[in-house]
Amino acid sequence: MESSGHEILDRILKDAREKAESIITDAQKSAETLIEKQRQASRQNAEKKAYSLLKRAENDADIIRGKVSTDIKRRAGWIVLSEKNRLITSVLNEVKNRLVRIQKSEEYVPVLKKLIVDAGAVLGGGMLEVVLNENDSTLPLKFDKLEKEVSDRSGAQTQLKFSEQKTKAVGVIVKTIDDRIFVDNTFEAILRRRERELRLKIARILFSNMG
Amino acid sequence: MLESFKAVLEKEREAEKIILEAKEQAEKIKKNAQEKAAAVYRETYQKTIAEAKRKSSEIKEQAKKDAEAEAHIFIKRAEKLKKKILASAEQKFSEAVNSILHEILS
Repeated sequence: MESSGHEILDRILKDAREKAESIITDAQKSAETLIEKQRQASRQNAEKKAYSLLKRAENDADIIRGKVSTDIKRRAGWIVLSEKNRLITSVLNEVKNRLVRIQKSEEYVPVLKKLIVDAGAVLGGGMLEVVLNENDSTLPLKFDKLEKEVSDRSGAQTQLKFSEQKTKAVGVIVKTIDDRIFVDNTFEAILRRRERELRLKIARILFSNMG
Repeated sequence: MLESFKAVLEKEREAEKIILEAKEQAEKIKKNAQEKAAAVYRETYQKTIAEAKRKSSEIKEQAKKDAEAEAHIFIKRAEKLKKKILASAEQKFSEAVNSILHEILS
């Protein structure tokens, strides 16, 4: 009986210890479950934001690529274009130099005559004044022949006379006697007037085989 | 008999105490778990976002590098074309000058 009494007493404690252990084990399990659930909930929520961050980064990357690509294409285009412009300008500069030098050559007088006739025809003939530079004023221009050519082209009786006014440019300015209308056929003015067209022509010659 | 009864009562009190202590410990575990869960939530969230931010920077940096590499190729190509243009223009320089002079003078 004494030993059975001891067994009961031991049993009471043993049961209590087992129950206590089970209470703690359950608490630990539910603690672990809670932590894991929070970890997963957190990951899910964060992943939504992370996805939108990455999506935005992809968009930004596309913008960066597009911007750099546009900039670089512009820069590359500019490198080629500025070189072409430089070369066209160098041709025009050489043309200007040659036009200045032509004044001292034999071919200048016929050219000057042609410039006078062209200007006179544009003005429609009539009483016209021819403005030249100091040098050209002494050239044998034979106005009577030129007057006939202007008359023939314009259909109006033409009379040319030297103007007292002088120009410093090479070429000629022809104006109506009343000073109201003039045609500037100096080389400088011709080049200025036709620059766009001439640049295009130069480009066609220089770069026609470039594609 | 009374002694035995007393002993049982005493053991039961001891048992109740053990269970009570276990319950208190379980409460502590739960409370700690709640605090830890909040911290875990915060840490996991911050870690995931930080990783996403790192990847975002990497994506943008890579895009920039790729674009610059492409840019380098474009510029090299343009420089090559510039040399070709110069060589061609040098050959045709006189032709161009004479043609324009002819255009103006004739």
